[in-house]
Amino acid sequence: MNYKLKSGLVILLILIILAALGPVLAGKYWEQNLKESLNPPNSRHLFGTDLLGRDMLGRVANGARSSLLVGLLAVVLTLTVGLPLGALAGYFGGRLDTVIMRMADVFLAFPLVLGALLFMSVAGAGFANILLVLALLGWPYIARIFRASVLSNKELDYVVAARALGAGDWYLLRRHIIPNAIGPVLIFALMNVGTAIMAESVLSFLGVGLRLPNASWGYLLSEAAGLQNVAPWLIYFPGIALTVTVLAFTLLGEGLRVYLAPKENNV
Amino acid sequence: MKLRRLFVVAVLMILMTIAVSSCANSKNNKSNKVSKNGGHFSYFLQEPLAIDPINVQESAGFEVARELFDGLVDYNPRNMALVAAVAKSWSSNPEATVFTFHLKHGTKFHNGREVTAGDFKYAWERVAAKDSGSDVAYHLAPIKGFEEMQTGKAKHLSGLKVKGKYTLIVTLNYPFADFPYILGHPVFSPVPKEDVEKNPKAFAKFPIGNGPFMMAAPWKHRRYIKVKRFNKYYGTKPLLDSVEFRIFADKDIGFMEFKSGSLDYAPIPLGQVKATDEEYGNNAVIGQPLLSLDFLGYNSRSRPLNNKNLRRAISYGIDRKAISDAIFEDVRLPASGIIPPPIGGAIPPAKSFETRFTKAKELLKKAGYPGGKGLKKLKLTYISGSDYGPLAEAIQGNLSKLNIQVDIQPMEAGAFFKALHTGDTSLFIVNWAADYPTMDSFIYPLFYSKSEDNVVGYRNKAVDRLIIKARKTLDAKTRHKLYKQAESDILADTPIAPLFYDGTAALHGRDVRGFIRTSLDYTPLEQVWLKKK
Amino acid sequence: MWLYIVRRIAQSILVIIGVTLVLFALFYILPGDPVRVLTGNRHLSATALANARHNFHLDQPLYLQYFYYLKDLAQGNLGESFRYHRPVVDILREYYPNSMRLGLVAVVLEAVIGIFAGILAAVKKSSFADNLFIVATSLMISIPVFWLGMLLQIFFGVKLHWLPVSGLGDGGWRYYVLPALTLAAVYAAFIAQTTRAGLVKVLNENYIRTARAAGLSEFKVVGKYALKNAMAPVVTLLGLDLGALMGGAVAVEVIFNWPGIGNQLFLAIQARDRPLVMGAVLTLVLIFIIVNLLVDISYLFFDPRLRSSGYEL
Repeated sequence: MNYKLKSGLVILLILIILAALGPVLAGKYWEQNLKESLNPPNSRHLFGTDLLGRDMLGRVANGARSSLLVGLLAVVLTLTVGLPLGALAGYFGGRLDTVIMRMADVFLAFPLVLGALLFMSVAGAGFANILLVLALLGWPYIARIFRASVLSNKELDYVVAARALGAGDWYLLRRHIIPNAIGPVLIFALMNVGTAIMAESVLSFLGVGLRLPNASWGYLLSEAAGLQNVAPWLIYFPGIALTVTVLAFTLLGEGLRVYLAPKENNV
Repeated sequence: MKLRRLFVVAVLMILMTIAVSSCANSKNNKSNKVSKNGGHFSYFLQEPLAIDPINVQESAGFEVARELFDGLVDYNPRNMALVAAVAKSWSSNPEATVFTFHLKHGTKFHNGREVTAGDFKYAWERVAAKDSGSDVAYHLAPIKGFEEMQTGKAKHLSGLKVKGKYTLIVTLNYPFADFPYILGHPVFSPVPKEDVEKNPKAFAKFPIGNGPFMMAAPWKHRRYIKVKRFNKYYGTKPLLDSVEFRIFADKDIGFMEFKSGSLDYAPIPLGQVKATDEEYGNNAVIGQPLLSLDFLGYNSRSRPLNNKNLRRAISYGIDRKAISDAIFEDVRLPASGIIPPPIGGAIPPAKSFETRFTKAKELLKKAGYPGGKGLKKLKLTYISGSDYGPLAEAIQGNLSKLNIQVDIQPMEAGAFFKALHTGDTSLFIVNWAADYPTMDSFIYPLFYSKSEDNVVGYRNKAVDRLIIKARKTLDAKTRHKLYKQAESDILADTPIAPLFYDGTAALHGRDVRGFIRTSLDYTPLEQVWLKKK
Repeated sequence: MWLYIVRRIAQSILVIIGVTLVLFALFYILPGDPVRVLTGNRHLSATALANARHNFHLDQPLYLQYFYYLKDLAQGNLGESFRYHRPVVDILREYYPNSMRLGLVAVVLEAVIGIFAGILAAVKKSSFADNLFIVATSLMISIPVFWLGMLLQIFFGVKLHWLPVSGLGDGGWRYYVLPALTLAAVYAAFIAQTTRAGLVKVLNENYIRTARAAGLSEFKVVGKYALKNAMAPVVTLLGLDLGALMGGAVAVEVIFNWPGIGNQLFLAIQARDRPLVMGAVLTLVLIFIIVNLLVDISYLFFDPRLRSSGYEL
């Protein structure tokens, strides 16, 4: 195991524990106290308080759950859509391939944030909607990679041999092609958890991502947008949490890639 | 003369804060014998939708258009009383349905041509035409023949007669004593036909008006609008040489720019008002009430809010003072009535929140929900993208102390109004800002049963009769009494809970003199001057 | 190869039509009414509403609206903005150059910073500086761009008063610094990583060893021979980012109040200004597609082995 993989795993572990302990750590994060509006960090409120006098430590701890959940579930959903379509396109080829891949092209033509902004304005801010939109815009990437991977596996000698021996399409896909082709896609997907979390934060920041009660870090930053001058702590802490989380997934993905391809280890 | 007095000396309004700033200004006037003329002013602006009168709507467009154009009348910036502009006098028939305006001679457009009554007719019909593309044609609705023009049946406003070069006679669809007030809105400005028709698109970017300032360069969208003094202006000429309206996406960004020293005026964004007040003191205009009301609307048509005691309990349960202090930095004033103080009179002193909270609990019990028991979750909506998020959450927090649970749901504008219409929400926060500085513009649109702006669906025949009676009454004092009566009758029914009167939060540079904010939230730039360094 | 290019272009036209279809469908299900958004909380009379709808052709069946749109589009006409009552083309022409200039400045910045840092790290491989480099670039890649923008605003604008934090002002270079830095940061890190990886690989090759053995200075070895061979992926990356910056800069343009297309698009979406949104998105997508095409074609030139493989790139 290389140090990137190790440090990524350690950070992620800490984050998951934090997210699980969120309710305990967060305390009564929703409790307003208008008399303590915008208090800077102090011994009672380590991260300070927000406009309505809520404890920012609690809100940031609570935000971990929304952000992590969105990232993980969005990627799972993306895989659920992208893998079968990619496998179908790659294995059967022909017209099915053309239809699927041209559809993919249309969605790939939208830059991620722009596309998500458009679709979220239609769907409206919300937890389920953001998962759907991220999956809608993300599946073509998965499908493309998986299709290429399936395509190259399809022509491998032992697959050709198995087919000659009378193995059915379904059997071949399930037993030989998918298990062999799935590696690179999963690494890509893992790195994408960070991307999804980042996308969610941008969208929430622009007001079309999550909405209450799912106050993710991006949502907290959107609340703080006008308060740079008076309450910079509202910006520092959610942003740091966000960066560390994305960093964990970046390290994890890179580490895993290097781990699985030891030849390039020294690069 | 008698009729003129009726309108001109009509409204008595006392603004403590304005009085203070006017004192400061008169002192400056005396001590400075140096020339006030000259100088360049840099003014914060958000991108207006239009500065051509045909489409002037939000306050940014209003602020620019009122410097470029003069209508028949204007408002006294200190008390919003009606004053003459291009019109020198006006009168009404006893039924308040026909108004005659006499224009000043020799007032000029920026192109040098004289402004005549025909220019007003041309301008108004340009707005009212079916294919005008105007979003604000509704301002002309009181004028006879408006509907026929909107449907395309007529080419001219039948209620508009021009007599000679200097007389304009307006016939209305219904009695409306406050009609001259609405003519202070820039949409009623005259425009020179020859320039509009030469190139309408160019006119939208470089409008040629008749106001104290004229365009200096075409409007550079999202960058700036540059204007300069109009030297042939008929009224008191501006002291400044030029003004640049610098366009910003929002107040936060503009305020940072102000702090870096390149703006002479900027609004103070929420969250920084108190700190700014301490830092800039004399140069800040904070908490002066505006003609704008935030209120909590109730869906009184269906359960559970058809219960008046519940509606009152909710209103009593909101700690307006604490909320204003925390999220509005005391810029907004806790409201107890509908008509804001600049025209509605001083706010009566409020009882302490403890007293009100106890009352709220009593009312809740009376309503049949002792301790909130039996009450299901209420939906609270507001238009997404507005700055009502924190307010909605604060109300949610307040009401949870009464054990009333609230679910917050921001909605896109279209969906929001649909929800109000279909009753798909229990509570909603909206703002009502007056188009004109009259009591009528708070009472009639919001509460007259047939008004299209009556978002709460309020119906009360007695109140309707009062409003119509007020609209027929030419005597200002009697008219205002009738409107105040309507206001208190409406409040007794509690179709809304008034929340806050908006207030100013403006900041100007240290060398700026003669700076005021009116209760329609603009600065008359023709009065501003710069102290020489 | 020409066949490939023609095929790609034909394919791109199909994608564009697909995009218009998706956009139109989106606006059809969009819970919102441009007329309502325009009029705010003023309720209009039925006549006024009908008039406004008529002016926007919203009273026609959707398929007809779509047909007219395509017809206009074929003639290069993008229609008139609902909100501003001006031709969309004019609006795009005003904002596009600002986005492009910002994008270019950012790309130049990230190229200079990224390549320089990458070379340094590759030459001093495994040193303390190199390790610092690895940590710093990983961190850089993980920072949300809009948050970085806010931080820069706080430090350089609000606290230090060094630089303007918003808008384009008089168009001076000072206005470009913070938004361009914000945009450049992430990609500078990518480019630095790619440069380093490429160089490290190349520096191990035989011909470099030969060059070294022949007594050439390290500066010459890296600058003249190694760098040239390590640059292909870096150039590709820069090209792709230029394409992405034209469309992906919404958040940064919003934060810095940049009078660019991303900012304008954000406002247009909120206002349900269909012609403006469609026009802006189509143009962005077009640029995105063209840049991708150019990058793919440039691959063909860099690596002739791919030329025979058709469009399966």
